[in-house]
Amino acid sequence: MKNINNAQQDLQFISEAVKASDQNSVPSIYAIWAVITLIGYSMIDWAPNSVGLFWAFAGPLGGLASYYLGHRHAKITGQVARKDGLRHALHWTAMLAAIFMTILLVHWGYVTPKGSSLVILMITAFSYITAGNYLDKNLRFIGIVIGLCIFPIAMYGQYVWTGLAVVFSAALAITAVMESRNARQVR
Amino acid sequence: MLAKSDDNALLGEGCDKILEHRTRLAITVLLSRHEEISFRRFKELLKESDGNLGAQLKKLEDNDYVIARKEFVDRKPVTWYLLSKTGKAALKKHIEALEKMFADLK
Repeated sequence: MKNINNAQQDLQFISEAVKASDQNSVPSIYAIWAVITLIGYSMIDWAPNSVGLFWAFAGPLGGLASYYLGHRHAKITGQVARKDGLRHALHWTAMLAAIFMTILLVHWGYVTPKGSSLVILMITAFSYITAGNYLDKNLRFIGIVIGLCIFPIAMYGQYVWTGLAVVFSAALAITAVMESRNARQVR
Repeated sequence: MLAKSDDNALLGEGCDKILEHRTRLAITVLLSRHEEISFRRFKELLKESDGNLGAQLKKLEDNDYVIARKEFVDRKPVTWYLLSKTGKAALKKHIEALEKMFADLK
């Protein structure tokens, strides 16, 4: 009986260590994308002719910056998880691809510009919720908040892209703060 | 079904002797989840003293369960550990034995 109790205590100790090790995402990556999305999406309302140019540079540069920050974070914290990095990259690339496809649907006339903003919001909410289910549980709450923002944005007709940009960016900024707090708790 | 050993051990038929110590088991479980972990990070996660952690890592290294490599990060020496093929196989076998042990108790 004593051995079984010891075994349970030991498994609890290991489980806690694994949970702590999983709280190791990179807050600065979320912060970078908070800034990029705030500018990139609100530009559709305020400077529509420059949007393509902005994303042509900001998208790849944001991706490279994310890779660099992730690599540096792994070296500094002392925990390299290439498989997790790959899972994150595949997940968020799939989300960006779905958003890009939605923009193409607008271009081809299948979806109205206003409708597309709501579709993009739904894709984003769905991506956050699924990421919350298998990448980082904090993201699930952000996904639900983004999803609920569909209703006020749908009802308020003007500046929907700016509204979307603010919600999306705020969600990323909140995630950055939450992740930063989690990282401090582990240390 | 359960074998005799010290108080700091998970025991059962087919369990790996090296992995019976909870710190050594935790190290291999963490390395199976993340590819490489530094000594300092292990210290944060397992809340062990330098001496004890060093001794457990040395035991795993001596048995070819983990591989150590050193590099400089921001001009500071860092020792990284990764799980070897032997370590992966031993961990798999040990976990199977633990699962069997708990299943037999039900």
